[in-house]
Amino acid sequence: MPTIVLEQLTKVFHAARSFGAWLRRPWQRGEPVLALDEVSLTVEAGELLCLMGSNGAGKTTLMKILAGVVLPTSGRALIDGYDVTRASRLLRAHIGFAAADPAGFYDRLTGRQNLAFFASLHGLPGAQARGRIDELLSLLELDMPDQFYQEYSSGTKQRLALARALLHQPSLLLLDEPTRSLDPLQTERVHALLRGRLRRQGVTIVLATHQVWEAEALADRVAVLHHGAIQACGTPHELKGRGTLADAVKQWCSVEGMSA
Amino acid sequence: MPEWRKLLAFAARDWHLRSSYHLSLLGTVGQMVFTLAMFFFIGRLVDPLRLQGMDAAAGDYFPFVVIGLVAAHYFTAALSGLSGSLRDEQLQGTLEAMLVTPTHSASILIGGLIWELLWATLEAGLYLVLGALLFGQDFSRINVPATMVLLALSVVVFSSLGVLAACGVLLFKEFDPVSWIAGGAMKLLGGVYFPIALLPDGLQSLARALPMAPVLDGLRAAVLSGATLHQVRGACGAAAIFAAILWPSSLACFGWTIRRLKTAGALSFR
Repeated sequence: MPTIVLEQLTKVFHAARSFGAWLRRPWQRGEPVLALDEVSLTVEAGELLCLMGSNGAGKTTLMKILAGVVLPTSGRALIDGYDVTRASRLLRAHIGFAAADPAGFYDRLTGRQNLAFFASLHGLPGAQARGRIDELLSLLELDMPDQFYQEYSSGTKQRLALARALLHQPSLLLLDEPTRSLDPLQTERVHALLRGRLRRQGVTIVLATHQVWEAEALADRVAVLHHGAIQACGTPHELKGRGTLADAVKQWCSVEGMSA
Repeated sequence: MPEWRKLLAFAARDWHLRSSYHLSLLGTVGQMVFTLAMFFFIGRLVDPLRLQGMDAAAGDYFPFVVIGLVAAHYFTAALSGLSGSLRDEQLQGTLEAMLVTPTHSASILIGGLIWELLWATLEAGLYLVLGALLFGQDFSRINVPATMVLLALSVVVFSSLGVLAACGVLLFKEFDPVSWIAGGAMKLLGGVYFPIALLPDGLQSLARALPMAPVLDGLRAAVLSGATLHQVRGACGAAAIFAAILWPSSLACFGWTIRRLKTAGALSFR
């Protein structure tokens, strides 16, 4: 059974309205914005799928629907056969999510205290949580765990977000641009973790990225999103045909901002 | 891990957050001393013979207002503390981060309240201690069981209003109608600073229909006159009825609010 099944998943947001527009028609909603347009996709257990697309293509919305923090407008998203909108608490125990913006931490707690809090919310008992936190701090080379979060660099914050996503050893990992703020050395270390240890553990990974070379290095398959719709999906080899993957992606998205 | 154990994690989190500001307790104590001193001297201006409705305080304004302050402090923590902290969680993205974990939304609510109430209890105790030590007020007749039951019931009432306020804040951002209506009504009609007997007849009837005034009457009787649980059963009953209606309604409203936010993609704002 595939880990993820998306069936005609559609998400429409409504744009915020000006105060004047709200005064004239307080009952009316803002202009609809189509974020996902009948996306259908499957991801097999243990697979690493890269989502590619320009800004606003719908990658983050798709990730957040899978993480259970955004509800779809129509269609279905199933994880291990369960609908994410109906069994979200059950599923959340098996999902690790690291958002693109490394937010969602308490500025006035240390990195270790932040991780301990979220470990408790994942149900890890004290001693087990402490051991797991030490393991992740070492694995991700987070060497200032007892400083306040607000004192961290953006790269450290991003690695802390990855550590939080891994705390409860999830079987599905949703990573939204996990290397965006990392230097090349740290990026390589995160890639080694994704390619090595997590693959061996059979973790299914969905990773959103703008970096074509990152997708080429990591992905079993790449799905290209544009204006909320899947333009192409296949192995990097299938997608690039006779040219490069960067050219192929640019062709599907006809966008600037993709780095080869 | 059972949900109740997660509540300890919330309390630990808030203790770490609060204690990271080293001088906050000192500032709180200083503010309390000034507040008590102000009301102590205002109390000397007030002629007890001209005031009605201060039976429990035997006509003395200072103990009357101290109990009002303690209760108002407690209820404000329940009413506004949660909406403020949930708004902060939404702004810094931690609300979304918590909802990615397998934690029940009711635990997030109760967890957010625990520290506020523990802190308010500490501050309420400090008010009484400072009132006794610095201004010679006698609280030795307090009936502890009656006081605790009344406080517990009223905390449920005001926490429920706090949850409704939090829903308003999460949905409307800077607009918090429940807090300012309930907070304003509490101060004007609750009998915190003056007996409601001073209000015009219409407002008096309204004040008696709200939970604050009967609860405060009961608390003053329990703390200052040593009234037993049986003697304050009327106030307990009124608070219990409000609690039974408001708590489940507020939980349902919070669940609906979270669904609205998920639909709008607005669990976090940065």
